[in-house]
Amino acid sequence: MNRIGSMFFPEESLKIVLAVIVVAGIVLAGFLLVGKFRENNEQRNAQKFIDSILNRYARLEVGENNTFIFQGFRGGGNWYLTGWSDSNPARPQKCFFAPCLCICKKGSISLNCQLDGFCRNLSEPPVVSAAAVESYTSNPSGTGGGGPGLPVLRTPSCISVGDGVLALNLSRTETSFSVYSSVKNSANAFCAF
Amino acid sequence: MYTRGDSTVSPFVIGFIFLLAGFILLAVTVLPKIFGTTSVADREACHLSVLARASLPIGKEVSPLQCAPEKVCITGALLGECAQFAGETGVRRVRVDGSDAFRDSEIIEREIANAMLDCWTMMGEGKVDVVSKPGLFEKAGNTCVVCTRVAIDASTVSDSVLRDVNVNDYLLTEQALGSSLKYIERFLDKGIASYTGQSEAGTTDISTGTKPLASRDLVILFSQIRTNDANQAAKMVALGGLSLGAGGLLTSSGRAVVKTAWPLAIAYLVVVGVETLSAYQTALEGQAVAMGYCGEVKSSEKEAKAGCSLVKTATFEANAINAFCTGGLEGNL
Repeated sequence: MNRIGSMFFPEESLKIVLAVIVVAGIVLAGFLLVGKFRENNEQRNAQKFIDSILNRYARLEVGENNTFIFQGFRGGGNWYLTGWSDSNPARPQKCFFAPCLCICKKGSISLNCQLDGFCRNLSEPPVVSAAAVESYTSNPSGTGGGGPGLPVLRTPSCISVGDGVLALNLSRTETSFSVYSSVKNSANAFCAF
Repeated sequence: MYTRGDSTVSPFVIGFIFLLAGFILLAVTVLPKIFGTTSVADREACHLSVLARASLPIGKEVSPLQCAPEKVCITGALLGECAQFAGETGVRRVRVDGSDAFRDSEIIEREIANAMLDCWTMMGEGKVDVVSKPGLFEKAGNTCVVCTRVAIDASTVSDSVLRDVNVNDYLLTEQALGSSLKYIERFLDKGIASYTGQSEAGTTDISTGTKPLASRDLVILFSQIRTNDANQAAKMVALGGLSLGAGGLLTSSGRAVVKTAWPLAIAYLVVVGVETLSAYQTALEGQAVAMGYCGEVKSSEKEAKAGCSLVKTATFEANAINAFCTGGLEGNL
């Protein structure tokens, strides 16, 4: 055996380095697997959430309304509920030609609903709204510069799901299906235009 | 004499077979709808998923809890329904007949006490590690599981019945179903009959609560909070709006009967002043609504673990549940 080599890399050292690499690999793989599972779990829970609303919707007669409690999920803060009418040209393609209720991951609204969302078709156009929240005008009057504008009260057209429970008022008429949250949640501000 | 091929069967036998088949069909389909069902299989599935979770050292969310709440409708009519469960299936009906308010209130007390005990047992009596330890940058919070929803039919059960309901007293004095021990003893794993009537510094005897049920729509919640530091767990449970009786009995409005165990938690609660800790409105204000355990929780992890677990009743209302379950909700609602 090369004496210089064996001085720098004694057999035991090589074994230790290999063992560390293998253990690190296993730990990394474990973390990646758990991460992947969490992501899948979030998606599964998002589908469960929207299906539970659809389940209530199916039981509501036209003209009825009621408040129901729905269960959020871990990571639900990254998801929001929104609706699209069949006449809205910005609706996700997955809605096809019908009105749809969607649960989507936060980000660009129509894009994310298409890429990272779950939609369900309804017979009536859904109207999703929440208690008005403060949102900022994009062009602050009189300042001429960047930065946040003036705060104004606006009604969000989406509802952030969250990880707790959510009380939603569902109301069905001949022309629409309305989903309303009376909780003033600043997380809804991103869709208050 | 019978010959081969002679297959004469008495009409009586045929009638009997049809009658039996009809009865089986009735028992499987119609009767559960009338009298409600208790799904032992569901409870067992939940318990198994709790144990499966406890066996995982990390990434507990990989094994979701298979727990769905039992739905109990307390009604005065034979086929009565609770508006709270409108459109829902799998509701177990419990009938109160309305002729004797005392007896009816006892039925409600028994249902709530049994639901609390079932929940406690199903979730491992607080000694099993059900929730994930918070991550490095995550805040620990009470993680909850809804074990039971109890609705009381407003059209057939009068307020006078609800005024007589005293769950505290029932837990302290009555024997648990199928056990020679009282409910309180089953919760605490030991006889604590001497607790009755005792009051210690900053605490109040739980049996004095006399306020009526504040809601007709209740949930029985199991909650657990985990940290590495027992004192921190107690502090967080306390600040989360709960009072704490170390290893023992808890009350809704920040009053606890404290006798033994866990000096850190007791010390903390006495210093802070438990009366000031009630941050949320509970369903059974003034009555004992929570049973809990603080201490070590069993898990596959080797490091020291501590946690507080409890079973409590709360109003089935989003704000109340969110205020209490700061770590989110597990299982199904």
